[in-house]
Amino acid sequence: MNSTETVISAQGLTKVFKDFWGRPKARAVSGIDFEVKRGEVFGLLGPNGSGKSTTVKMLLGLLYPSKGRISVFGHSPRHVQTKSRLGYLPEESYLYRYLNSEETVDFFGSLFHIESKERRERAEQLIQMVGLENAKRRHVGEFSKGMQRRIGLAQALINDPDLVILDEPTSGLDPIGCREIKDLILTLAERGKTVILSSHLLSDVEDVCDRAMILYGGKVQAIGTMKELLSNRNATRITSPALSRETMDKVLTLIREDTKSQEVHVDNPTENLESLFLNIVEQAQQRESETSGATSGHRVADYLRGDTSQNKSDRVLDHLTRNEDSTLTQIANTQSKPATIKEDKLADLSKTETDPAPTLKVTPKKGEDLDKANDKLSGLLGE
Amino acid sequence: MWAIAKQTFKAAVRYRFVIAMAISLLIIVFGLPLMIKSDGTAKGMVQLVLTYTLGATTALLGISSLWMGCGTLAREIEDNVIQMVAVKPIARWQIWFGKWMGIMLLNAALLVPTGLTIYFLIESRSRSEELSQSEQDKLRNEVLVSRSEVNLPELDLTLNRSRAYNYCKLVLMGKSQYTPSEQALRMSVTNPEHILSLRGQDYVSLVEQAQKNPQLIKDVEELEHQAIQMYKGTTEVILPGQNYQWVFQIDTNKIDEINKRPIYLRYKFNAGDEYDPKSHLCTWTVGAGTGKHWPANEQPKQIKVGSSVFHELELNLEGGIVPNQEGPNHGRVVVNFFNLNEKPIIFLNKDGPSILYHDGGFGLNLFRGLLIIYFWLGLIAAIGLMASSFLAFPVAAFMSIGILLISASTGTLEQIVEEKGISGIDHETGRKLAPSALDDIAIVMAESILWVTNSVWDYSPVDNLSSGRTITWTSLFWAFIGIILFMSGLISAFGSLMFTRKELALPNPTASMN
Repeated sequence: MNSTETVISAQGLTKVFKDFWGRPKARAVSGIDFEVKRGEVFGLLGPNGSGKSTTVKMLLGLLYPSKGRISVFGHSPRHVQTKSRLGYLPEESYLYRYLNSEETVDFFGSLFHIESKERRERAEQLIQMVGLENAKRRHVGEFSKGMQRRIGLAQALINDPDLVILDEPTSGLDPIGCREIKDLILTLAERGKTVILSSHLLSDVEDVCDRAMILYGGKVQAIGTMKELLSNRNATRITSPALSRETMDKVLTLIREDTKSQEVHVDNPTENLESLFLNIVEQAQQRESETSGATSGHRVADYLRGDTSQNKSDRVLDHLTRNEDSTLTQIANTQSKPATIKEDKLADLSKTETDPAPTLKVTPKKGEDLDKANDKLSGLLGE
Repeated sequence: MWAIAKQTFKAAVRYRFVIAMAISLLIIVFGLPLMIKSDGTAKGMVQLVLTYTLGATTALLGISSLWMGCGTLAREIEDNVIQMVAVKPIARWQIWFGKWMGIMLLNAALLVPTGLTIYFLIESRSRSEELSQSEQDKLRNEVLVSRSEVNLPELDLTLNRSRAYNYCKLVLMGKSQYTPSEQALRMSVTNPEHILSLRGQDYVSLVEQAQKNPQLIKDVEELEHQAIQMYKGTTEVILPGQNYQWVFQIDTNKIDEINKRPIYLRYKFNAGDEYDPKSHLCTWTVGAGTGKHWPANEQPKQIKVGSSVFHELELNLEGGIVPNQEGPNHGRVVVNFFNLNEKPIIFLNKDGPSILYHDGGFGLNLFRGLLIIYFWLGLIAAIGLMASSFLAFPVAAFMSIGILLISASTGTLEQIVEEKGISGIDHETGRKLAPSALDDIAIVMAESILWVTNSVWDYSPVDNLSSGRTITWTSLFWAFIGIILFMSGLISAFGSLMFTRKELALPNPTASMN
């Protein structure tokens, strides 16, 4: 398949909600244009009420545009056959409360006309993947929010979709669940699947998306690759093993001479909170494995992995579930990692602001605290 | 679609709706017969049990179908669960029909056991040792049986104004000899036109004046209406001391089979005073001039029975009562009634009389009757689903109940049609007090609604079943065409169209569609 194939195309997309008498009530989306290519992980970012969910629901044919055009795989979102290539996880778990996990996945699978045997196999793998094999006979109505999200995710993937639309997928999930969702997204992307990720959690988008669109007031505020959006070409960061004071002074002197600037900061890199939490829970799991709720650290369903069983995301998953690793060792390893800066990378880093400017000027650092990351959008949008 | 149907059925089971309904139906089937007080005869008891249990079952399942129809879709829209289904590769109309099929699955699951229970309960009672052999025979021959009905041919009530006018003029000429065209005219006039000629001068002048003054057309119509009513009256009213004869033509191919068992004359009459509840003397003879005279002793059968209810008269003659010899009387059953009362006796055309003969067992007839009830439930479910396709649950339920109430209260609508509008009428002259355009609108609306409701309720099987009359395969077929294909089809098409147009993710479900 052509990797430049356009999966989603929206032109002048507008949605105005009207009251009973047809009078405009709210303009949720206002003339937005964007395209999503095959294999991309595309982030829809924005604060609450920015038009993310409305856009997603227009993509799904659940809302009809007031103006503009939208196509999914070259067809209207309401085209029935096109929907067989879609998987959707809504922002809330809209599930039948009286069905159990197995029945839920099986029911939604049956709507795709998947053969019964195949459906059962997939349902089993998915339920295992989302960590609900201990609760597969329990009614969905008895589930916690996080468990409902997990079963919602399972049903979204029953048809091995080419386009997965995830609306706030990590909402209600514990950090392990969040990590697993992100790994799953990466796995899907490596298989050429297109993923739309709508979220107001910046860290989610930052971790997995290739491109992102930032919405505010129903309008596109910024759109581009993550690199374009996040790189600050006016600053350089070097990470190295711990240096002696003398070496540090030499390096600083050299940098100050070269840059003719006193604005040089030195600090120690820190582990982000997510990684720290994951490691602690992993250790706890090794000590106490019994739980009546959702479990973690499961393999992505075979049929979703396709032939990429050894891909990066699986390695991440395997890594997360390896028993011999310990949090402390990982922290130590992180801090004693050898420098990996390559010559070409250095050349790239040495470019100045004469390079094509990103859409927005931001200076995030990979590994920043989640709070700082989530504050970014507010700062950008002047909140 | 099947997946949606199964899921809808599963929802009813999981929410214990099925259990609640099953218990209610059991109470109806077993409890109602304990509370019913009949006329003391086994026949009366079984008729009442059939009427009440089938009626109550229909009512209960009708309400549940309406509730399910409104609830299953509207609630899923309100809870947003429908979004999860709508984004799957299934067309909206398929979701709609899947829901309908699910409700029908539920109805079948409840109606089949209920029908079987009613059947076996009544069968076991009819064989009870507490009943005498004659009572058992009566039950077998008159209630727990399927009997075909032979009705009188419909009256020709046509009145062609041009033909009536020409005929009146011809009568007024007082000719004794006619040209071939005049003779053809005389032969073609209907009974109402013939009656109209009795007021020939009035009618001719009125028609001629109405050509110049169109307002007089109402008077012409009034005269014509009177003529039609007068003709109907001559066929319905039997004055004291008068005799009236009806002739029934039986299918000659079936005579041998029919003559093996007794046949029944079914009739209903009103006394001069319609509300007179007293018994009246009915004097009958059958077979005059056909060689198959009943009663065999050639004395008229005299019985005293009450007015305004249906009665049956067993016509039992050795060798059968239907003439089976080639000739003018082949298959003709001639019935004579003598009014030996002091009041006129009225046999309304719509109530017969009719001849009933055995043509099958009760089980199959009950099955056909239950199928018609099932069709009704399908229509009610479609109404509920249609309303919930664009309204929130409480409003949809309110609207559906309203539709059912209107369709059930046909009395008012019939009155509007009968009184030619909604404005008042002078009962002495029979004329409208202040006719207006609103009357015309009301008449059209009332006639339309009546046409629709009659096409649904006219197939009512309960009366037929309790009186042992056959629900024919033909009427079952037309019930299917009328109730399911036509009525439910129209409602379903509208409902699924509304559902297809509906935006399922609107922030407020009552917001307008795009």
